[in-house]
Amino acid sequence: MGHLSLSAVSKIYDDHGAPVTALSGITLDIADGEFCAILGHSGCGKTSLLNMVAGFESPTSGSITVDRQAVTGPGWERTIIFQDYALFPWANIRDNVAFGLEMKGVPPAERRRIVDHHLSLVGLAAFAERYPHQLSGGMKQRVAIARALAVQPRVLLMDEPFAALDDQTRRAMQGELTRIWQQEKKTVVLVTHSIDEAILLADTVVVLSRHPGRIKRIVPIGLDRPRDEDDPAYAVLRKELRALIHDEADPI
Amino acid sequence: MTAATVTIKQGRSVRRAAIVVPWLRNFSLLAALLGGWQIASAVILPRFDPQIGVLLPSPAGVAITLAGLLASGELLIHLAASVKREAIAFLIAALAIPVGVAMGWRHSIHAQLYPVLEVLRPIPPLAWIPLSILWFGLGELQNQFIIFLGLVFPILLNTVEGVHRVDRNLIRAARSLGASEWKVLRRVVIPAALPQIVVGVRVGLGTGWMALVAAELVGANSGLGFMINDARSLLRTDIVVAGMVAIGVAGLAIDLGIRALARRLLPWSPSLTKRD
Repeated sequence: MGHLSLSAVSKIYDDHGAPVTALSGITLDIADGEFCAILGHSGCGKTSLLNMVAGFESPTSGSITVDRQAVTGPGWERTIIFQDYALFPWANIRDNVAFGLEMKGVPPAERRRIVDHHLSLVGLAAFAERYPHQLSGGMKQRVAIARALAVQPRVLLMDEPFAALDDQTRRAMQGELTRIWQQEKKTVVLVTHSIDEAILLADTVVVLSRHPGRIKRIVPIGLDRPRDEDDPAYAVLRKELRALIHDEADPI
Repeated sequence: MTAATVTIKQGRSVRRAAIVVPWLRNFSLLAALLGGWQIASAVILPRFDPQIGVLLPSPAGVAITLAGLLASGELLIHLAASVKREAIAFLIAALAIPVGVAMGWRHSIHAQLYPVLEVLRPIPPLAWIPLSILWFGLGELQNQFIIFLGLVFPILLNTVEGVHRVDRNLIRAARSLGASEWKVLRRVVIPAALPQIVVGVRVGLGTGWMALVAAELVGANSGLGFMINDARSLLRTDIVVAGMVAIGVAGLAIDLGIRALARRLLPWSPSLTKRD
């Protein structure tokens, strides 16, 4: 369960009376268990797209459905992970991960079992009683992943989740995410501006153009996981995506 | 005791001295000022006119009076009266917290209340004293009203600010985890705004304390403000200064108490745990 479908979605913002088209004619099907990366420069509307799937914003026209149910607002079927982690600083790690389960009305004993399972999944079982400010950036993002997965969402949304991390931690987290995703088989929509991140993680890469944001091309990534940057096929994909993205860059 | 433990103990006392000595050095100006004051009031002023000495009691004299007021229990009675007034006014002014949360959360409520506040806020609490005497007469209620006015605006405005400044992604994360609007408010917005609300309470208790003393100067028959005004009419400047010291120390104690409490209850807040 977790088939995400966008049909002719467009988003027009009002900029002091002047309409600005952020996204236009986005039609996209993401299968259950598929890992989809949305790739584009800043200003291509990729975050707007994610916000609409999350239900924080509504499309100006078109429709978004998850398992044929229309998205009308935020809800546990579509949990989100932000770049800045957005952990509750007053709650310990256990209570952070338990938050969604509590909102769902899961009884305490069951809640505890699910939280323990997800803390082990992200390798933080020993840190349950710590507070967010006592953890490193990579560990905070693991907590955010555990919190988002604990409610068993149909779709996991990620908004540039590793952009705030240093290079080494980012690579480790990308490996971790691949492992977790292979274990949990969730539908994932990941927004990124990094070509490498898209190739390393995704089954399909949706390249967006700018002004307005449209789907430029959908590139399937057929490589085996874990992916190897030295693989010649990887280099071919990187070249292809770079060319697609390069066209969209601002003239300097 | 072995030689090793002796060395450790000596090491400790050396280290302690290394902390205490510079700390004491911070008080050298204060000590010099007190010494100068003592000389001025006990030696220099009486040379010009033996009567003028009464206008500036010496620190030693004030200390003796303060000890006497403490021993007789008189100071504690007045201190208790003042603290009780401040506490009652605070309990009423704490209603500003839910009002501030509502203002911060709902734009329509903010739009209605904000102009009213902006008109009332610049009026100093002391300017309300004449009208409040006519409304409530001299006494507890009038005093508490003035203190309330000192307390309420800092608490209200800091609460609004605290709610406005809640990280939008925290709210969004909670919404996507299935929290209703009420749950978001109770479980995310209020805890996130709490450090700023504490700032409002601290500032409010400070301005409330100032308003309290002023209100007691005018219309009360107990409290530290009353005590120093009463001593003035008897020309007991030593009691006046002793009362001023007590007012300052009590105000400082309230502030330190709130800060210690906040650090204990909100250990996660970087703005409260850093020492300032």
